[in-house]
Amino acid sequence: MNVYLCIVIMSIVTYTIRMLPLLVLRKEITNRFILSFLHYAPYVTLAVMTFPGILYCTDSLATSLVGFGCAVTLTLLKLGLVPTIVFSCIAAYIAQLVV
Amino acid sequence: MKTSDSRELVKGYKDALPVFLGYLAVSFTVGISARNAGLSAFQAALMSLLNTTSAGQVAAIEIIKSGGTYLEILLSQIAINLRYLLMGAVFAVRLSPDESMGRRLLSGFGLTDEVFALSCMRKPLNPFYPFGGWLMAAPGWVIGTFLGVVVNSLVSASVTAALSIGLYAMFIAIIVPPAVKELKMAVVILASMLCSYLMFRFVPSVSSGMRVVILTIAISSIAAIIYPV
Repeated sequence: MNVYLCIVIMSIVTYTIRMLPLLVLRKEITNRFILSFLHYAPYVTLAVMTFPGILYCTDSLATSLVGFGCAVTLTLLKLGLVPTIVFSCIAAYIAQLVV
Repeated sequence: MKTSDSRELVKGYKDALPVFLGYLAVSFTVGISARNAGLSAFQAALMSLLNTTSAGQVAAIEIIKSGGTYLEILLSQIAINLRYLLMGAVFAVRLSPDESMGRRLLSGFGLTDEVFALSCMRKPLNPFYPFGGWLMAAPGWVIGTFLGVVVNSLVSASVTAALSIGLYAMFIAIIVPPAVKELKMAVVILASMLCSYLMFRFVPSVSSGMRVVILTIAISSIAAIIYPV
């Protein structure tokens, strides 16, 4: 199996998928169902990717829960994107040392 | 290039700094699996540059390692990366219909999970925002992969794990505010997490990429019927 040929195949498939909707959906969409669908779709996608993935991205469930809880709390406190991310990482790191 | 374009390019570039750091950590582990499959550092970095998709790359590396076929590579990439089709559709409606084809395609580079997440906060979307995000994030992904192959244990495992939680923290920082503002969105997001967990737990044969596709189509459709906007 040629690794370079694999990389080229992967790249063509991945970028075709990425570019296709941008090429096809050019007219303004007025259909209410489609607009509603695309209103919710990004958040559904992100929610599905976040959970339960976040529970298993560190070695222990406890560490992940600390990072998870920290991220939710800091977001609710409106701390902003970057501080939320940084402090969640630090909290998870400290939790890892303690657990 | 208009002034608003350069402003959005710089904004996207700056906003993606946490993605750069998270990518360094996550792609480091992709590099380690690439080395275990016998790829050179150059091959692994090239794969990262031309794909920038963690799950897709890990799947391809496993297929290469097990001596699979090109057809398996092709099918795995379609299945795992199909979620970009949905994300691209979200971009397509958020871009102004007046945008030229070249500018629309430029935004397609920003279709990685994390740069897409950042771009969700921009309405309307200027194509230079996701492109700026990709310009910041992609080098992190490529460098991390390269280091994962050549360096044995540059970063201790605990630092890598802590940084990888950063990408999830970013997703949370993006989905929680609309959930607080809009009760319907909160219901949709909690239902998504619950369904995702149930599917992960009871139908483990479905890959994470396919789980995203199936649940995004199902839950967004139901939400669009119950709670039309």
